[in-house]
Amino acid sequence: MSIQPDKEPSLDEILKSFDAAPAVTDADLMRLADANRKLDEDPAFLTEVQEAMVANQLRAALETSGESQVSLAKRWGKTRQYVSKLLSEKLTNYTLETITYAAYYLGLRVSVKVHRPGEVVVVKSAARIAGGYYSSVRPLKPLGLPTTATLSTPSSFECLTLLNYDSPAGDAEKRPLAA
Amino acid sequence: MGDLMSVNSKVDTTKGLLEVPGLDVASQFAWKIRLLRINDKSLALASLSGWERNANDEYRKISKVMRIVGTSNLPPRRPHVGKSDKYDVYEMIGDNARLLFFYDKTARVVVCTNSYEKNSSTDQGTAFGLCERLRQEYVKWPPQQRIP
Repeated sequence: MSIQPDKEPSLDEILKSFDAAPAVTDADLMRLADANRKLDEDPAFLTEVQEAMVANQLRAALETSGESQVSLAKRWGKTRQYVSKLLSEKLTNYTLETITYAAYYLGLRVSVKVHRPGEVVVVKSAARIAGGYYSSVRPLKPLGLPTTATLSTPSSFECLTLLNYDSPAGDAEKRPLAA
Repeated sequence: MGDLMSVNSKVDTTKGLLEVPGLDVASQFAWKIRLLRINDKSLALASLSGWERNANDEYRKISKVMRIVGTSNLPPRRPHVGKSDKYDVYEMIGDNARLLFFYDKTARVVVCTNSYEKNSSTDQGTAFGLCERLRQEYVKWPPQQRIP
């Protein structure tokens, strides 16, 4: 069945396209589950994911700041090609120093945490208010606030507060920091 | 009991959302990744299964992007994710493989709908059009149908 690009398909056409999809067997599902588990146990794959995520965050920060790669390279004392390669993930085997400097020149900080499989690291902002420390999940905009990271599990409260996707900075959850 | 029956009678059991087999919960802490199922079939699941079986490099790249999407609050940028110029739908980018999806911001779910491959009979515009049409259908579903 062909669907014309300039015309959104009708419901009937959609149903036909689903009917025509190959059936996925239980054996296929088991194979997919096994493949995903193997990927999560492959350090080379985990490195690829981390490198991509770091570069993605740096690209996002640069876009948010409105600065050009040329300007960033000049302030950092690097060539534009170097910055371009770093942000486009063509520069591999860079050091922690490299991303720390890149983040620094974008007004950000890098926090590396080692954690157990199944745990996630949540970035929070911290402020001292009325004699006690309060924390909030970092608002998505603007970037560049001082941040700390903490260990958490996906089911914990910290992760739930991360769901405040569109909340402005002032509305973020405020509660005492754990000792 | 009567109330339960009336709720269940509104749920079409042939459509809903499927989990990605074996995808770690920690890789989905910002957005749950789910596969759209209609008529008990899932185009996205069929594509993942096909790539895993026949194009392992593609499967690996799409799996990598899936983890980036699931842990990034904002939509990632290229080279991993592309956005349609016309619609509010996105694509996870492999070498030639593309897995299309949209965000359900209410349920915090990324809904993977369909796929296409570069140099195949399906082009990007067609695939984005189908994804958008599936999004329009999805938002009409009752909330209990959209439980991830």
